[in-house]
Amino acid sequence: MKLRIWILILMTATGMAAADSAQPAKVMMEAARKKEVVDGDLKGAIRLYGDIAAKYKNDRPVAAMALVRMAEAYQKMGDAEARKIFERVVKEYGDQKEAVSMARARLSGRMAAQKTGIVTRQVWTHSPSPSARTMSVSPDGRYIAFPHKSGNLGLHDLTTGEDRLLTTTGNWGNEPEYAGASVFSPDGRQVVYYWERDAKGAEPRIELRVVGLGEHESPRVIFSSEEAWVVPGAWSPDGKWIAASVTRKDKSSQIGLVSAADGTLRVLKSVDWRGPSNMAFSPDGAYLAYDLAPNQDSVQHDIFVLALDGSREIPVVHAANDVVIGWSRDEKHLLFSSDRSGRMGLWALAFSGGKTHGSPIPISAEFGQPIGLTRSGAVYYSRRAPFTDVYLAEVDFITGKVLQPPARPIEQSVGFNYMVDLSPDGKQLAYAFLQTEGGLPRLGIRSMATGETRLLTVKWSKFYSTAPPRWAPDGNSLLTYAIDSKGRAGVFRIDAKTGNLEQITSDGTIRTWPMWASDGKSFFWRSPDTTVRHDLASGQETAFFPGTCRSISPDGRYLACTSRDGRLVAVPLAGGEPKELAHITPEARFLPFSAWTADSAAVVYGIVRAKESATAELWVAPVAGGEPHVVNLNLAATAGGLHVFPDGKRVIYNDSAGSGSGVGGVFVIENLLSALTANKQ
Amino acid sequence: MLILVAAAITIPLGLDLYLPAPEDNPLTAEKIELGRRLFFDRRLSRDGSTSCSTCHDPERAFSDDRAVAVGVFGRKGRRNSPALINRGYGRLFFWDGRVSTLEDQVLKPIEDPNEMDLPLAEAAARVSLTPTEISHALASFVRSILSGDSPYDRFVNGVRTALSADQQAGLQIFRGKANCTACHVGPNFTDERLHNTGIAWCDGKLTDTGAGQGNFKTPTLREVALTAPYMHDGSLATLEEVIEYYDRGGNRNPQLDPELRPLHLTAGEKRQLLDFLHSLKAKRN
Repeated sequence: MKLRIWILILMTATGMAAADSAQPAKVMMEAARKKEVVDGDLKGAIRLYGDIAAKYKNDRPVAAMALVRMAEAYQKMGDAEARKIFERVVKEYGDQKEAVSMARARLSGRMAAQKTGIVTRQVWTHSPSPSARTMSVSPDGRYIAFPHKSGNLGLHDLTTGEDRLLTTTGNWGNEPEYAGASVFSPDGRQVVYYWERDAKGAEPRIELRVVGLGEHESPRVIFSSEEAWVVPGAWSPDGKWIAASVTRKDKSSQIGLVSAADGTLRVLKSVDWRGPSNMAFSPDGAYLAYDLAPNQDSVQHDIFVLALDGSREIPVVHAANDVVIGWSRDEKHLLFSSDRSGRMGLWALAFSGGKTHGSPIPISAEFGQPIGLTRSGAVYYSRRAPFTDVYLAEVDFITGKVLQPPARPIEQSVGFNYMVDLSPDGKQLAYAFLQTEGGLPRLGIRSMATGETRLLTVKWSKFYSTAPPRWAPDGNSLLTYAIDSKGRAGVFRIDAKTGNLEQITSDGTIRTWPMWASDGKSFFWRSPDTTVRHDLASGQETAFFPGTCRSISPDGRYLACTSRDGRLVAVPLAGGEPKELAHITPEARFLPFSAWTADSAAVVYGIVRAKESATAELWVAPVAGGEPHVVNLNLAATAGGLHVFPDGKRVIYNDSAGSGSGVGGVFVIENLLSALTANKQ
Repeated sequence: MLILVAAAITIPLGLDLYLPAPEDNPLTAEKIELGRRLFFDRRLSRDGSTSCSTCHDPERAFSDDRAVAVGVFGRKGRRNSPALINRGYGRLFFWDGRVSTLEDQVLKPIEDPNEMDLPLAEAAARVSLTPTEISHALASFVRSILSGDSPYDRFVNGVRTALSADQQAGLQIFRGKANCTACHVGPNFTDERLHNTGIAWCDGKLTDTGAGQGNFKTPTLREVALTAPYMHDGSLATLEEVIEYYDRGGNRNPQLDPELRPLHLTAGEKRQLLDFLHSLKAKRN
C-alpha cells in the first residue's frame, strides 16, 4: 500500500511540473482570478498577475490585461499603486484597446475607490433583463445564476467569464418551460430556483427545483402545488430551509419556509396581494428580513425583520422604497437599497439583539437591483443601461425632408422613458418611465403646450409586456392591459387625472395592446396572430384582421394593419376589402408602429431591412394609391410608438439611439466594512 | 431554530405560524387559561347577567344568533356580535375598526353601557386583577381562538379530495366570477379593511355610518356557516340571502365600494358558492 501511495504522489508532482512549464496564459489568468475573487487572497492574486505580466511581456494583450487586473486588486486594497499601474497601461499599451479602455474608466473615477474606502467595479457586462432580481450570486462570489435566454438556468463564472447551463429542458416553444429567480445554498454547491411550465390548455405550473453545480446534475423538484406559486428568496445558514414568497390562487401573498429536505411548506406570515421582493436570513438564522408594501395603498416597500422564534416582527426601515439585501460581514448591520436620497443607493442600519440602532447609514449613492451578498461581505447588484427615450422631430411627409431634427422633449429619467402615446388632439403625451432602478413604471402625462408633466401613481403591479397605455378618444383616460395591486389581470381604464384604475375585462384572457375604437364603444386587442374587436356593451368579440393593427385613421375610416406575409394594409372599419399600401421582403420586418398622417391620407411606417440591422427606415404610403416614399428621419431598429401630431409635421416616438449615458451590467461593492467603520468615527 | 414557537398553542393547518402578540403580552398558557375563565365570568357585567360568552357563543364560532348584541338589563346594541375566530391575526377591531389592538378591544365591551356596563376599576376589583391583567388575559384567550384545518385547508395543501366537486366549483366562483377575494382574501378570508357594501344604506341615507361613509370591516369567513345572522347589523338571516345580496351588487349608494357590481350568478353557481362556504369549517375533535 505504501508503495502505491508514493507512486501516486510522484506521478502527481511530475504532472504538475509538466503542466506548469506549458501553462498557457489563460489558465494562469483563471488561477489568478480565482485567487482574487473566490479565495479573496488579493496579495496572492497580485503576485500571480505580476508573474503573468512578466512572463508574457511580449504577448501584449495578455500583459496589458494582467496589469489591469493587478491594478484592480490593488484598488480593492485601497492601495495607491493601482493608479500608477492604470496610468502605465494607458501610457505603454496604447495598442491594447480593451485594457486601455478599462484602465481609463477606472482612472476617470467611474469605478474608483470612493472616499469611504469602498470599491465598486463592474464584474459582468451582461445587461440584465427587466427582472434582474432573478439573478443570484454564489457565497464565494464566483458564480452568478441567471435565467438564460434559452429558458434554462444559466451559470456565469466570474473568474473565467464563461456561461454554462444548469438545466436542459428550458424552451420558448409552444409549451414553454423556463427558469426564474434562484438562490444558492449556503455551501455554494446547489441552486434552488423557480421553474415554470406553461402547458397548453392548463394553468401554468410553478415548481421549486434544486440542482447541483456539478456537470450533468439532474434537477429535482422540491415543491410543486396547484394552489401556490413559490419563488425562492433566501436559503437558511444551516441549509435546512428556503425562505420563499408564496402567491396563492386568490392572488394573495405569503412568506413561507420550504424544507430543503422534503419540500414541506410552512407559512410564516400572510400579507396582502403584494409579496416581498427580497428576503435574507440573519447569519445566526434567528431572523428573517424582508421588504413589503406596508399597506394596500403604498407603492413603496418597507423592511421588516421577523424573529423566527415567533416572538415578534420588527419594523426596521420605512419612509422610502426600501429593498432588503442582507447582513453585513460583521453581522451587525442590515444592508438595504433605498431611494430615500432621490436615487437608488446602498444603505446600512445597525441591527443587533433584535433591535435597530441609530439611523440608516449611506454606503454608496450608486446602486441598482440587488443580486446578493457573498460570504466575504461583497454586495452584488445589477443596473440596467439606458435603453430608450422619447424623441420629437418635425418632418415634411410630402418631400421626405426633416424640418427639425429629433430632440428629447423630456428631461427627466433620460434613457428610461418609453411607451409613448399621443392624445388624439395632440395636446397630451402619455409615457411610462422608470424613475428608480427596479421600481415600478410610473406614468407621466405631459402637456405639449406648457411642457408641464403630471406624474400618475397608478396602483398596478406591473404593465403587461410592452403594451403602451393608449389614449381614449376624449383624452380623459387611457387603456392598457395590466395587473392591478390586487393581482388581477385584465384590460384597465386609467383615469388620466387621478390614476385610478377601472377594470374592463376580468375573464382571464390576456388581451394585450388594447386600443379604443373611435366611438369609445369597443376596443381592439391583439392575440399573437389576430386583431380582435371587443364590444364593451355585450362583451362579444370578433376577429377583425389576421395580423397586427396599430392605429385608427383620424377620420375614423381605416385601421392600419400589418399582415404576417409582410403587407401593410388599410382595413375599412365599416367593412370591405383591405387596401394594400406596401409590402416588404421576407428578410425585412415592420417596426412596431403604423401612424396616420393628420389628413388620414397616408400611413407612416418603419422598416428594418435585415434581421441584424441596427437601423430602420421611415416610409409613407398613400391610401389613395401610389408608391410609398421614404422620409429621411434616422431611426434605430428598436424605434417604436411613432405618432403624427394634428399639425401634420411633428412626430413623436421612442428610439434607443443616443438615449442617455450610463453603464448596464453586474457590479460588486467591496470593502463595505470600511464605510461602516468610517461612519462610526 | 427555524421552527416558530408559539409555545402556548398549536397553529392549525392553513393559518400563519407567526401569530402576532405585543412584546409586553406574550402568549402563555397561564394567561390563556385566565382569559378563558374571565371570558365566561358574569361578574364582569354590572348586573352579573352577562359575560363575553353571552354574545360570543363558542358553539357559534364565538358569535351570536341575535341580529344585534343584547347586554345587561336587556339593552340592545347597534350591531351584530362578530365571530371571534382568528382575531389574533387581526389589525382592526370592531365593525368600524375603531380599535387597533386586541388588548384595547377586549376591555371596551366591559365598559359599554349597552353591553356589560361596568367601570374597569370595579371589574378589576371584582376579579382581584388589574385592568391590564384583565386586558392581557382576555386578549391572550381571544388570540388562542383559532380555526383552520378545514376541508378547504386540506384541499389547498394537497388533499384534492377534501372538497367535493361542487365545493371546488364554488371555490372557483369565489375567486373569480363572484369577486369575493377582492375583500375576503388570505388564510383568514379578510383583508382587514373597511368597505361600504351598501348594507347601511336605506331610503337614501346611511342608517349607520360605521367607520365613516358607511364603511365596515370585512369579517372572516372562517366558520361562516355557524355565524348567522350576517352583516354588521345582522340584517341578513342566511348565507343564501348574503349571496343574493352580493349577486345584485349591493345597495347602490354614493360611497359603494367599486368592487361591488352585479354578478349575474346562476342558481347553480349560487348553490356551489354556498357549498364552498360550508367547507370553511374546522375539523372538530
